[in-house]
Amino acid sequence: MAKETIHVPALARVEGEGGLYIGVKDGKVEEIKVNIYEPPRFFEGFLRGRFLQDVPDITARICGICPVAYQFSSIRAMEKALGITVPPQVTALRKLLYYAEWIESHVLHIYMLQGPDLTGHESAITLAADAPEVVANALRAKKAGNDTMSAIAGRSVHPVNACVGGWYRWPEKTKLEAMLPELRWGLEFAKETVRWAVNLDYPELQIEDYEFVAVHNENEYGILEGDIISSIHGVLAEEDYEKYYAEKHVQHSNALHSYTKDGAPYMVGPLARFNMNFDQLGEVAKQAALDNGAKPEITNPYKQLIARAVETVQAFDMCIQLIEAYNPTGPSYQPLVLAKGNGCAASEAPRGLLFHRYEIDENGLVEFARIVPPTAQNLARMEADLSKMMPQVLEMPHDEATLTCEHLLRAYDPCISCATHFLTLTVEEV
Amino acid sequence: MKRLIIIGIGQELRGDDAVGIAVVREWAVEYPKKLASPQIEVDFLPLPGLALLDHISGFETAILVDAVLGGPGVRPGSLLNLSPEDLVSFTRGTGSAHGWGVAESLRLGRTLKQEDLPEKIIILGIGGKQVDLGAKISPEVAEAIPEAVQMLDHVVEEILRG
Repeated sequence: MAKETIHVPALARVEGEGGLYIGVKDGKVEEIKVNIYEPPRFFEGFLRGRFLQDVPDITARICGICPVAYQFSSIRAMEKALGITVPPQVTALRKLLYYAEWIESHVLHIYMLQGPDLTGHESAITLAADAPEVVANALRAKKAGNDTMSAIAGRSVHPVNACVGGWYRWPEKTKLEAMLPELRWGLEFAKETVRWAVNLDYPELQIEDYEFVAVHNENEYGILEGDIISSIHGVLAEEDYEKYYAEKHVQHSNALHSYTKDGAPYMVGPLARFNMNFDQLGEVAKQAALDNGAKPEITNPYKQLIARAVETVQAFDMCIQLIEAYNPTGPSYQPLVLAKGNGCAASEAPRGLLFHRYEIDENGLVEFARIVPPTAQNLARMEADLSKMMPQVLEMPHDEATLTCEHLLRAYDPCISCATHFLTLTVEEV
Repeated sequence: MKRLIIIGIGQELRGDDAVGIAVVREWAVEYPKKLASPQIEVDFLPLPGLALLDHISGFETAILVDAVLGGPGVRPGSLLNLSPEDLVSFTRGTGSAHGWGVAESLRLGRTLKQEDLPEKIIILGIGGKQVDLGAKISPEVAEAIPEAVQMLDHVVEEILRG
């Protein structure tokens, strides 16, 4: 029986460094803490005084897995601050780079991070020993995403080319078209992945009170831009995000935890997107989901993997469509006319909504920056899910209990490196 | 198949983790003719993760130069000539926040029996002391760099001779 404290000092198979502590006394849970002990990140502080065009390449450094998300939330926020709208061909290429990032991140998570939990393996290495073709195919699919990113923006980790106002230059059409055979193969692999994903044996857990929050776009699956949709509040403007959701410092973590203004946790990420934006999925992804009985509303957090699998189909399909339609004309970039301004933007990092807001002065220098990463928004939700699971978990043997809790956190694909940032500290002498 | 790739691995902002990069860079400066040889490629990778497999694929031999933390008999500045098998106990050595160190990636590659992986993978390890954020290479580790460069060149010579 697990009627004793569960302590996982270092979580495996998550991005970054974090731990989990569940204090149990006399068979009762006293405390649940998802600990973050990654060194704090000071991005919001050191962006101040930087020129706005430097910001996308600096914020990209927050995460090696989802740098594109950081680039595009900051680029769009800056463009809104300056009152710039970019032409559709610029937007299309942005979506292509973004979906390519979803491919590498989602495939990594499905097969290397969460997959081992669902197939009874300690890691992807033991999974590879059992099913080498599965892991080899996963690596190949992930590489298709990485190579597409490199073709657009030079490299897949911290790509360079996207900028405020457009692109530094148009990537060569032939380089992008060269990706098509691998992407077409990847699309079929992704469909297989959905079939595989729905048949896995997920732990039983239904959460009735989820508030799902995602970027929402009436005309397409929300990824780069749009409004914000909440399963409780409906459609909100990006500008209203901070009226509904706020960050709070908690003592046990370097990362801020996000709550609704009423103090409740909420969920961002693939499940929020899948449940809120299913109608906007492309035909191919929607069909792949429906063929396998996957449809909203999924409320088992372990099944985020299914949503991620469907989104992988969406990502491959969109990459193919966007490359086939790619035919840039004219300049890739519009010169910036600097002005004092304030802009915010949300986009969908692979692991959930990423909100940025900047204030800039008349010379284009940053006066204020706010970065709300997806994992910080999900931390409170993870703790609430754990709390909900406790009755079953306390009946399990200790090792099984620990694994079940760790698995839950991994299902969120937490990126603890990016969730960690600090507020300005004011010291008052009394 | 191409002949040889030499990769310096490590993050230059994390103390002794930078030593692998430093050794390969120093070797390139001392042996510019070998650097220019069509048989040899040189690369620097801060945090290769699983992509390490892509970087070494297609070469007959790969030499990875990396800092090593812990392990039996490893002291700051000690030099080790390792094979991937030795790495199992060194999984925390890369200071990677993303879970896929050199050891895991190489093990995965071998488990998958990927055909275009190098037949021979040599890991030149340099014992480290700390991987603190923003720190420089520790003095006793930095002192070992010239000898590590010689050791690297010796291994390169042996490979080129066949």
